[in-house]
Amino acid sequence: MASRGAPAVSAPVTRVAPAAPRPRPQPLPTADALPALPDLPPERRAIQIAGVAQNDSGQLPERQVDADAARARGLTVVDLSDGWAPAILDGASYRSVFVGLAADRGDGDGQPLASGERNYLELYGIPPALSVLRRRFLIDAAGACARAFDADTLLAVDQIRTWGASTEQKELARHQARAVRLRAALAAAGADSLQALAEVGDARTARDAREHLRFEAERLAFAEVEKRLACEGLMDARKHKPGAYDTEMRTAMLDFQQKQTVMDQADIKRATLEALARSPKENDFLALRRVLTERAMHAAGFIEDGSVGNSISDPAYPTYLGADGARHRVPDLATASLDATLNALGIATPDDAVAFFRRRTRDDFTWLKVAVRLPPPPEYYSRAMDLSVEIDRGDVWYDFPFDAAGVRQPQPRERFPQLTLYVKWHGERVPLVRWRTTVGGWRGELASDGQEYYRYKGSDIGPRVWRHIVTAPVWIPPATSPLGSMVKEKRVAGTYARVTNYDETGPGYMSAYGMVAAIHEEMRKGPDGARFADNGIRTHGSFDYPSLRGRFSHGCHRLYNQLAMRLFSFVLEHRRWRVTGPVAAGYRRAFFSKGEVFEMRLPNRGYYRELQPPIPVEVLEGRLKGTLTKPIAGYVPKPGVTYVSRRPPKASDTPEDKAGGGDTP
Amino acid sequence: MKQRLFAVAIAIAGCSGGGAKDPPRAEPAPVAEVAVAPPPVPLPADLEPAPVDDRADGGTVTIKLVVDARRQAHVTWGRKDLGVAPIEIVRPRGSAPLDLTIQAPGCLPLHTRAFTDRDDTLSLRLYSERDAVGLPGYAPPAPAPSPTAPKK
Repeated sequence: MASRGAPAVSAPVTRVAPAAPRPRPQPLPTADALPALPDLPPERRAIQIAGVAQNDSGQLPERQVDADAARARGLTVVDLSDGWAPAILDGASYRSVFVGLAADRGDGDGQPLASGERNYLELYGIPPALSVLRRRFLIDAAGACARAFDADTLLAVDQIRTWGASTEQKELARHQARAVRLRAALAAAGADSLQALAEVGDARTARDAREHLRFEAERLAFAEVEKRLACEGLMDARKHKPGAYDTEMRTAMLDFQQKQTVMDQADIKRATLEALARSPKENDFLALRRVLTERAMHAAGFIEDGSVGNSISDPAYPTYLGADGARHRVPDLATASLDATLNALGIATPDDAVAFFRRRTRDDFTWLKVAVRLPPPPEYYSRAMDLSVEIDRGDVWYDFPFDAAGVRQPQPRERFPQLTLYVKWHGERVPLVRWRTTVGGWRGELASDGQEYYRYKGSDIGPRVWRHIVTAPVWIPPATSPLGSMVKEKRVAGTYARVTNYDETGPGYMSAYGMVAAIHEEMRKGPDGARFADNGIRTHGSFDYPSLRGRFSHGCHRLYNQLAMRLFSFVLEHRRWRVTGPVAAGYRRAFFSKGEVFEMRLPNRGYYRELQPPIPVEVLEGRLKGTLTKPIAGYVPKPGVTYVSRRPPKASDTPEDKAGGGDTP
Repeated sequence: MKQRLFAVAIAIAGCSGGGAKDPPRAEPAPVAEVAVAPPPVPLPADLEPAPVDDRADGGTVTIKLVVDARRQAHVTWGRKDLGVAPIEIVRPRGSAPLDLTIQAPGCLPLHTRAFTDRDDTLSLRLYSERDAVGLPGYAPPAPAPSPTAPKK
């Protein structure tokens, strides 16, 4: 059964599988070694580790070198400072908010965080700053939390089922009743254990015995989860009722999952259990690897991450034709860049990372950079790459998903939407990345008559272009947007206040358009030149990361926020563009809530850049399933709903409706 | 599970009466190298994030809040009373937006936001209860409970 007391801190020593041996960092090649210059101004400083540890102290021969000289030597200077942000945010005022969020200094509106408050926003595209990782490593290095829980008990189950408060009580009562039945059955059968009963008992008793054993194992694991969350400082044990998956524990679990980038959304599934079973230091090390991958990829202007095939060793993995006449595999530059950066920092293990962070002070992260010999860019790289995009909509169902009796009909998909970025090289299209994305489908939508209908919100097919990239885009809510979520309570200058909620509109990581968007435009060439039409579809980052695992959008093609920023930073690095700057929106809307008036003001639509020339985008129809070959236009009444209007109103087709439209964007 | 094993171990020890008698003498154990645990490394004092730098390195912006002066409208930003409108607020350029509340006698509190990326003038309209009837989301105030009404 679950622990009934405060989480024990004297639990047995955790036994975790020994980590695979990691290669020791390689010494710096002589050709890359730069002279030590201790008196450089902060903006010109970078570090180099000129060899391996010389003595038992683990102290590495680290020196400060000239960042400009490092670049001149062909090294890449990877920014490890807390002031880092992806290049796509340069120029946008949201950049400072991003930096504050990453360093646990500010909230989504740029206001200071309360003391002890933390942001866990990696799943939303904001990796923690290195000073945040330093804090985690140095606290976790003490090891108290690693000894406070039993990893084996956590890994003895595949999941821990959880319920809401009232169902949880019912399930616990059922478990007790089952235990009583099984005691009687044990005695009657003369069996010496529940395992034996599970094998020899009648079908129902055997099922009961298996379920009982499973439930017991889950409750034991649950008690370890409680200890784990409390010892990591995510759950206040005084506010938690032991054995219950209450609000305090759910909130802590969400924080834990977001901290470790586990997408279980408070469910306790295998990925969560594995993360819980790892020592905090191992988890910190995984976070460091993710953060350094992002920093190195942005520093080099790389994008290839091994996503264009199942395995780079697969003979079918995509290749390109080299100048040497041979075919070369499209490289996985993410892994190679991470390995090179870790090597340059002298880090191979979590303990190396602890040693690295012990050598640093918080102030070092105002300037810290490292000079790294990254893999050379592939030969198809240039400042003006011939890029194009293909979006495959995957399996598409146009049929209404309910039958005449109002029963939902299954619409299974085997092929999911994918976005592929190509470069044209030697007459061939070479895929660089292939990522999951979303397409539109049947969605509930609030119509102008105030009632909710179904509507097929599809993704346009055919040739389009990306002409504008919008950083920190703003979603203008249509007039039909419900007001319920437009007010929130938050801390403002030392007190809590009700304020207008700008989370969904942006700019910000919670914006319906994410932190960056590219507008899909239809280009028509005429006698007066090209004309462009915006049908409201965008490729954009998204805070709604679960939607990328199989849900539908309103027609837009969503990407994980960090991948969207990586993609469009890469585009800026390898295409010509000009800054348009903030595009005025002049939106102002007053509304009433609980005796007060709130104004929503959206001065601009985001920070625009114009690609010159635009990037071609081809949206493929995908594989049509079902009976219809064209989508149903307009609103369709929801089964089982009685409508006041005899006929549904006309559906709006504004770009804003495509992204939002009354429910989860 | 481990606690149960621990309890079993105690019970076994109790049954054997091991605590009551001297343990049998054994050969002196070879002197083992005692691993001395390193003393815990003290945590540095600078683990928490540095305070937000609010210096106006990028210059300042001026936001003018314009309200009919006869309204005597008080502008507050959280706990801070910024004064009676019309007023000018000077903030570091590019600093966080300000969520402001404007309160005037006879008017409903108005919440608005001032952005700090450029100089701006906000002309604010205050709403009386009667003016607010046309606003989206309007709901009339709940009637005051009658003194004779039964209490729920």
